[in-house]
Formats: sequence, structure tokens, C-alpha cells
Amino acid sequence: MRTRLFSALLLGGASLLLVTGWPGPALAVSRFAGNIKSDLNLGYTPPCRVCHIQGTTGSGTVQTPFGWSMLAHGLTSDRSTLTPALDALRAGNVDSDGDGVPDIDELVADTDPNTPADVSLSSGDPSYGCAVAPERPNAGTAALVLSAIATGVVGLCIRRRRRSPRAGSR
Amino acid sequence: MLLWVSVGLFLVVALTPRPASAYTWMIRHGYTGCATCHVDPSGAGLLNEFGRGEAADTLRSHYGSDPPPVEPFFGIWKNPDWLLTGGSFRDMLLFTKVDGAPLTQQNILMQADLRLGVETGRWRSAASLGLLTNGNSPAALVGNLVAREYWLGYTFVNDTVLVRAGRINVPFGIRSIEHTQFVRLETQADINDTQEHGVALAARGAGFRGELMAIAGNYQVSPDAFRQRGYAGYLEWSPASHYALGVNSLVTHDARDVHLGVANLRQAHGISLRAAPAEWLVLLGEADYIAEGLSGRPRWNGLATMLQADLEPWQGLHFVATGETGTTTPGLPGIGTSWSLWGGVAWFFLSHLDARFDYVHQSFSTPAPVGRVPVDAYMFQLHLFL
Repeated sequence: MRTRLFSALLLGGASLLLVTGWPGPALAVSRFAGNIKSDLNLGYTPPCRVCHIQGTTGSGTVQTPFGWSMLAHGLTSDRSTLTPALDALRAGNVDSDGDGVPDIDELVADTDPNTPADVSLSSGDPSYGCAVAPERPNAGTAALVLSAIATGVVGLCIRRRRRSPRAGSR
Repeated sequence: MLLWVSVGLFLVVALTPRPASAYTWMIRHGYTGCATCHVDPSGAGLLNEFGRGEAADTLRSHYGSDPPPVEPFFGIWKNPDWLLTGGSFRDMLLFTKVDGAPLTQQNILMQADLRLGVETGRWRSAASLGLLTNGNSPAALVGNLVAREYWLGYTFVNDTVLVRAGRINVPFGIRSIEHTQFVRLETQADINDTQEHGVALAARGAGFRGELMAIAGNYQVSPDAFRQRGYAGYLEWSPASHYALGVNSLVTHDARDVHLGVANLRQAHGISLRAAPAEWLVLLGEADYIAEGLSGRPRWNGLATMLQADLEPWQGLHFVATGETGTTTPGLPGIGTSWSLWGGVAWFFLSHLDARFDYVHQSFSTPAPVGRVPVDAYMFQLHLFL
């Protein structure tokens, strides 16, 4: 019994280490948005949804018209490719949403280059989460919270099982 | 001592192999409905006891004389009758090549979810809690801690009718893990993270099943302007044990579309097909008419389609081919149809463990001057299901 429990604990520990030690997210939010702001001398920081579909970050989520245009003009996950891509868009007067206003002009004017509608980029992105989500996702904290909640549930189950005469009979 | 035992048990729960979820091709074994194996009557997520037992034998490859099955939780723990547990860990190595750009690589923790459910008397409930690599998920509780679904329900008529409330998978179309398919992206009805809060009524009977949900909005997204409200539902008819034909419908409205930035009356209406003409072959198909009624602009109409063949020549080994069409950015002038072709191999090589490789070629239609953008993606996935 002890050996089984010890084995289980070892396996479980490995699981937790795997989860908490996993490579972190791309964090494109803070890197690229800030660079676009400084490169174009904007008075606001562009939201994630300018490039990422539904504002969800990650390399496979660059699926907005403006995001496609940036990729097509050399943008990669390497931050040094951002400025040349913006320059190329400016030089080519690229208009990703086809509304007649070039993307760079739209960004400077605080309108969304992904839609012909007059949508402000600085009026706020949606917030995800029941509380205000931190800009930098924290896998370690999340894993601890997850562990604490599940531990409590399992503890209650054990206590209930000890008290119940039919526990374990199925 | 109790604390340590609890910690250990939790970790064992998170690691002990248990069966999987959301494999629509199980229709090859005559399962036209989902409630036989899943707590969610429309499929996906937490399995019930029967589902765990059934999936342990029918999903994986068998090699001659198999070793005896591993007891749940290594034999040191047995769930009480009223408790269901499960989970899923899925990691993907993604290589993407956009035309004219260098190859990019990313390791994505797609899912590390623990699932719990309670079934007592007529009450049913299920909840999941997990981690994602990506931030800003519509299922986020805080940071990258996500709760995709949590609901409480009550059953009637010998468990054939379930009324439930909470955060629920949107009942529309074919449920599969391939949440980036056009039919899933454009209807925003996947089992990844587009669940909505609301109340749903699910029913099943001889040869049919269906669910209708009143959508109150995703309350894990704020402010309220981004929440879409309306309904979604499907009705599926099974004329024979290996065939099912469904109709799906969805209408929602939000004051500010998360993607398009303006008020949007969004509609999706379509049909879906599941067929297993032979046990080694399953065909899945879906076609959806999409309409986006964007504020101040003409209504945009489009179509999203998907046809998939799943071949299982040897139990546990799947060859999957998919063709699809759609539009990733509806509402833009001059945009055409995007399409993609998928080819993949999935192998359930051990009990509760599978690996999958997919090659996807996509051709996205974007407005001029960029035009058509070809994208190649290579995906390697490892999946441990509990």
C-alpha cells in the first residue's frame, strides 16, 4: 500500500512539475503591441485583436486581415521583423479591409484596419476572466490554485468515504 | 496525513490513465448518441462509468496478449458512486509556414484539464478546470487558468431529458477536437473555449436526439457589450444505428462583436451528417450557412463546409482526411472563399494515450492587395486522457 502510494505521489509530482515547468506563452501582447505603438508614435497601445483572431494570442491565431498583411510583409515571431513589416505596409499603402484607408493611416487615426466600420482601437479590448486578468499569464499560480481546489475536493471525498458504510461498494 | 493523501490522490487523478472524449467517429461502433458514454448529453468532456469502461477497450490498439488492465487510480482509490472524475492533457508542437515568411515553431499546451462530475438522484453536474498556454481565452477564469464548462442539471423521463444551467458547450454541429475548422470557427461553437452561459434542454428518444440552449452570454468576457445572446440548437435523426442526420441553428446578437468590433446579429443554420458505411470507415460532414448582420453595413452571407473521412484499418490507428471551405474574416468587401485540406494519422498506441500528426494546407482569401495567402502547418500532438 505504501509503495503504491509513494509511486502515485512520485507520478503526481512529475505531473505537477510538467505542468508548472511547461514553456510559457508567446506573450506577443506586451512585445509587439508596444513596438507598434512606439514605431508609429501612437497615443495608445493597439489591442491584441488587431492581429489575433478574437484577441487570443499565439502563433496560430494571427488570422485577421491586418495580421495576414503583416505576415505577408515579413513579420515573424522575431520582434526585429516588426518595423520592416510596418514600413513595407506603409510603402505599399496596404489596405487590409478594403475601405480605401491604408492600414498605417488607420492605426494612426485610431481606427481598426480590419473593418471598414469606424471602430476605435483605443476604446478597449474585451477582458477575459471573472476577474481582471493579468497581462502576463502565470502558469505557476494557476497550477497552485488548481492543485488547492482539487486537493480540497479529494479531501472531502476521503472524509465522506470514511464516514459512509457503503463507501467503495459498487 | 489526510492532506498528503489528498494531495497525492489529486495528482494521481491528474495522471492516472482514463478514457477520452469527443470522438465523433464512435458511430462506427453503433453509438449514434453521446449520452451513453458522456455526462454531457450532446457529447464531449467528462465520461460516465460506462463510457470509461467502453472506451478503454475500443479506442486503443491491441497487441496479441494484452497485459491486464490498470485498475483505476492504481487500485488505491475508487470513486464513490456519485462522483465522476476525468481529465485531459494535450500538447502540440506546431510548425507554420506562411507563404513568403520563414517557418515558425511553437509548443502549445492546448489542454491540461481536470474534470469532476456529480450524479446523485436526478441531479447531474459537471465542471472542468485547467491550464492553457495562450492567454485571453474566452474560457479564462484568471490568467491562463480556464474553466471551459460547469453546469448543474436535473433529469426527467428516465434520464432522457436533461435541463441544465451554467457554462455549456454550444449545441451546434459536429463536436470534434479540431476546433480550428471553418465550421467551428465561423459558428463559434467548439468544445475548446467558446462555451456560453445559459440554460439548455436536451432530449433523446428512439432514433433522435437534440438540444436547445438559451444563450445568456459568456460572463467570463467583459464588458457586457461583447456578450452575445440568443439561441443555439440541433436536432439529429438516426434512421439506422450507423447513420445520423442533423439540422443545426444559431442566432445571437451582441452590441460589439469581439472580432469585428461592431454590433452583430449573427446567424448560422446548417446540416450535419455522420455515417459509418463500414466499421473501418466513418464519414463526417457539415454545411452551414452563415449570415453576419453588421451594424451600418449590408448583411454578409457565406458558407462553411467540412467533409471528413476517418479510416481505421486496425483498431486504434486512424487515417483522417478532411476538406473544408469557409471565410475567416466575414464582412469584408472583395473577400473570397478560403479552403484547406487536412491529412493526418492518429494512433491510440497505449491505453489512454494517443499521438497524432497532421499536415494542413490552407489557402486564405484576404482583401487585395494581399490576396490569397497559402499556409502550411505541421502539427504533432500527444494526448493523455483520463
